[in-house]
Order: sequence, then C-alpha cells, then structure tokens
Amino acid sequence: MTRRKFFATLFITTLIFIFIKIYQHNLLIKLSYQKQRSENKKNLLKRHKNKLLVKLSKLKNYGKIKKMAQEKFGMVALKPSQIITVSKNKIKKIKYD
Amino acid sequence: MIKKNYKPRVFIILIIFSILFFTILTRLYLIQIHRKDFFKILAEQQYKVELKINPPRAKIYDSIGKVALTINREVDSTFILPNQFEEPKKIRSFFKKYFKKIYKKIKRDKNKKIKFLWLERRLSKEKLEWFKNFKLNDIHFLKEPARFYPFPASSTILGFTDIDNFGLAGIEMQFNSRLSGTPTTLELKKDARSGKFYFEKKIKEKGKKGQPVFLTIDRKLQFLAYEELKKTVDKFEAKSGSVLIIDPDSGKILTMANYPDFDPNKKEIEQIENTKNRIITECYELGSVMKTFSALAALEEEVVTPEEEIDCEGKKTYIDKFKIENWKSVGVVPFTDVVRLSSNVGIAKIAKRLGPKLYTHLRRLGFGNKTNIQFPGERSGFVNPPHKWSRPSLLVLSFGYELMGTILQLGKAFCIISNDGYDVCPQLITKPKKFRSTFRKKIYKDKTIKQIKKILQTIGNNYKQNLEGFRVMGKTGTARSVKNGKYSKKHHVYFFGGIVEKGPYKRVIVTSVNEPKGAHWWASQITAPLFNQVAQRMVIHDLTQLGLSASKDF
Repeated sequence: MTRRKFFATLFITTLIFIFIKIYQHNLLIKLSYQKQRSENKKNLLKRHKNKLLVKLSKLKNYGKIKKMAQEKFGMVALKPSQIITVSKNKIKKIKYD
Repeated sequence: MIKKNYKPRVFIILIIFSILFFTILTRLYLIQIHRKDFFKILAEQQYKVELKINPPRAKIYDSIGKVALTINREVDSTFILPNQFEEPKKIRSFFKKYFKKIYKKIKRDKNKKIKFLWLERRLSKEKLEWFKNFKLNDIHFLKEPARFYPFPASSTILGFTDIDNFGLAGIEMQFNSRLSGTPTTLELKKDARSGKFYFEKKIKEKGKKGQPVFLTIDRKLQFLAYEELKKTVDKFEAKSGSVLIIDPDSGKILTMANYPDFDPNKKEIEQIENTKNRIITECYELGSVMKTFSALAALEEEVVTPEEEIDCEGKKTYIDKFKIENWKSVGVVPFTDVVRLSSNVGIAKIAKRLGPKLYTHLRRLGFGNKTNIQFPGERSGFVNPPHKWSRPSLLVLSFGYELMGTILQLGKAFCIISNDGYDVCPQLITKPKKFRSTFRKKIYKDKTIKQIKKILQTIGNNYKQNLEGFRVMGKTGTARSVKNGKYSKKHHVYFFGGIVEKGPYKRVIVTSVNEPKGAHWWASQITAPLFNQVAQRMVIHDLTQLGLSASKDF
C-alpha cells in the first residue's frame, strides 16, 4: 500500500512538474512574441519620427524661408545700422524718467 | 518437438536483436560522439541566426550643437533572388524590356550561381511606385539607411556618403570610423513558424555606437555668406568663389562657403570638382593681398617706417633688370600709400631691403605649412625658398607670386594681425576635443601690428558701407592665373582679406573669386564689395545672435 502510494505520488508530481514546465515554456514563447511585436511597433514609430524629422528639416531650409519671406511677405534684408539694441540699464532709466 | 527447436530459434532472434542493437549503438556512436561537431553545427544552423546590426551613423552638429547638419533617413532599394524566382517567365520578360543588362546576366548564369542582385538602390518615390505597379512577386524591396543634409550650403564641408553610407568626402570621410561606429553581432534562436521571431537574443560581439562630431561652423552665418557669394559668382559668371570667416581670437572657423558646390541630397553628383572645399584643398598665387605680409615683415624688421617716402615710379620700371609694372603711375608716396595704392614697384623695393628674411616671415605666418585642420586633402602650399631663387624671385614674392597658398592660410595670416600678433591655429572641430588647439604664441610686436592695422584701415575704410561703428581693415589682391604653363592676361583670381572689429568683437573675412568672365576686373570691383556684403550680413547675424551693441544704441 505504501509502495503504491509512493509511486502514485511520484507519478502525479512528475506529471505536475511536466505540466508546469510546458506552461512555463509556452508562457515564455507568448511573452517573447509579445515583446517582439512591441519592438516592431517601437521601430515603426521610430521610423515615423525620423520621417517627420526629415520633413521638418526640409521645411526649415533657409533658402526656402528666404524665398518665402521675400516673395510672399515682401521682406527685405536689414542694414546693421537699422538694428537698435536696448540694454537693460537704459530700460530702467526710461522707467524712472 | 517444440522444445527441440526452441533454443536455436531463441539464439537466432537474440543474434538478430544483438546485431540490430549493435547497429543502433554504432549509429548512435557515430552521431553522438564521432560526428558530434558536424551534427551540432547542422542543428544550430536550423534554429540559430546570426545578425549583424550596424549602429545608426552619428550626426554632425554645428557650433550651436542643437540642430544636426546631417540626419539619418531610410531609402528604398530593390533586389532580386535569381535562384528563387516564383514566376520566372514573367520576371524575365520584365528584365528583357527594362533591365537588359540584368537579363543577360541571368541568362548567362545557367548553373544558378547568382543568389542576389541589386536592381536599383536609393529609389525616388516615383521610381518606387513604378516598380510596385508591376506587381511582380520576384522583385523585393528593402529599407536602407542613408544620409540627409538639411543645410546644403555646408555641403563642401560635410562631404557625402556613398551608397553603403561610407564617408567619401569632407567631415564624413575624415571622421568616418568615429561616425559609423562598429556593428553588434547578435545570436538569435528562431522559432519553427517563420524565423521572424526569436526566443533568445545573445550579444555575440558588442559593437560601438557612432560618436557625433561638433563643428565650429555657424550654420546661419554659413548660409548668409553662401547666398552673397552665389550672387557675386553668378553676377560675374565666375568659375568659382569662396568665403571664409574666422574668429581670430579662438581660431574657430565660422564659415567656409564655396560656390559652385553640390547638392549632397541628390543621388548622383554631377561634377566631382564641385565637391571640393576649395578654401583648404586649392592653392593659388595670392597676388597683391600678400603685400600686407611683406609690409608686416618690413615694419617688424624696421627696414621701413609708415611715413618714409618711397619712389614707386611710373606705370612700369626695371629693378635688377627685371620689369615690374604698377597698375597705375604712383610716383613718390609714403610707405602707407605703397600698400594702399598696391604698388608693385614700391613693395618690391622694400622687399629688397628685407632679402631672405621675407621668406622667413612668410613661413612664420603659416604659408607653406599645413594648418592641420583635420580635413581631407589639405594642401600645404609652397613658398619658393631663397636657395632656389632666381633674380626676380624676391621681388615677385613681395607681391604674391612664386608662392602658392590656400585661402585658409591667408585667413590664418590675417588672424595673426587681428589677434595683436599672436599666432592662432584655425579650428573646425570642437568635439572630439583632441583636435582642439589652444596654442598661442606672440610672433609680432604690438608696435608693428598697430602700424599695419592703421595701413589696412586706410584701405578698409573704402569698403565700410553700412558698417558704421566698426573698424574695417583689409587688402585687395589680384593674381594672374596660369594657363598652359603661362600667366594668362585674361584669367585672374581675386582676393580680399579683411578684418572687422568693434571692441572685443573681431572677425576675419577672406573672399575669393576665380576667373570671372568679361573685361579685366580689379579686386576692388569684385571681392571687396563681396567682403562688404558678407560683413554686413555677419554683423547683423552677430548683433542679433550674440547681443553685440549696435552702431546705434538706444
């Protein structure tokens, strides 16, 4: 009786162990797939971000900005003498006056 | 009867089973022990994959360091796998019609040795659509890394990369290994379903990320100078032109504009000549602009004073039986006016007093030496040494012949004047730090520098429009080009080396225009106005960016 019980317990334990191992393995595969899907998504987003960055850089092209400023808005280049620097001290003086 | 036959039968069966068992054992021995390595490799090949991943190419930044001058992007390429065609007839007829070379190549390959072939790389949007419209299963597409240059005005500095993203010119070439890094080798255990997923990821060989390079270039100033240069080169239909701006205090190069240049974003470069950064890689006989340094040498050696009267004679004269011409009749003038009026005769007479010391001074100023700027193809130039001099060598050396110099060397020499006689090492790189130089040594006396600055100011005042409040100094230079081994009367190179100062604010600008079309021009008509235009743009930029006090304070 005790021998039978022993073998039955051993058999059931082995079975449980095998099932746990299989479950663990399956879970690992599932998680691995999930991780890789997320990685792919991340890469896609990275690609998209990079595409937008290139687009933004194209829009920031100085030549284009200059052309637009001159042709669309009729802007002209400044002369150095037209720039007036307002120093902080002088602003204060004006306020006190 | 049964008992009688039992023993031999059992024996036979035993033998048969023993043989079978032995065979299995032998087979097992062969597989597990004797040919263990072979089968191990075979099994590994089925579930293990080795992947080499190249790190993204690092960026190149300008002096501000926030916006990159280079961006990585992905481009589409197309390829075929000739030994795995699904629809061989269809694809062959496609090749026969549109890709005859590939068609012939595949036809010749009867043993199916060709496994992979590029059809076209770096496809444009239109071309990609064109390929996709055929809906051929045997044409495959993939994304490849490539560079995008958002500031094309800096193209001759940055250079470009080839189809495999390998630096071929400029900074891209000079720092190729730093920018590209080293690839990481990964070992993946793939699954049975697709091979696209993996269970285990091991790093077999760790790579190194590419490291960015930081330049001293100011991208806005670069654009402004480039625009002005382009206008001048187009106006005079010149062969080429360049503008260099340096901060003489630190030696930082803020602008190196060349025109005509190239569009690094185009798939193919039309003229390889235009990829050159002429400021560093081209040598010229610098002409009259060199009178500045002959005068500097003469004043330093105290063989002349600014007030001394020099007889510059008429339009032409003979010194040591060698004919020297002035651009106009000058007569007797103080030494200051010899430089101001750019008299060849006057400066040649002073050079005679200097003798071989002129050569020593030119070498001291950096002519004939590389600046070690860390740029591919830098030229050292040449100054004819005294032991090779012929009768007129010393005379012509004083006004910029028998020497070859780069625009960068010219800029460096002007930096020494602006820098109160301290030597300066031009710099293009701020990071990696090992290429930064803090070398400073006083090589000219304060008195000499004051005198030469005063002389140069008399010239600079003529090109000071809209630069009120700034001290402008400079010198023009016109040199004949050599055509078929002879000095041409029609082809000239024009220079202007100048300094713009206001208090601690200092900038050196060198402009050059090569072989403009039409009548014989003077530098005062081409490079000097270009200098003024560039200086105006630069001052506006610096006023707004650096917060300098302007000419009109509130």
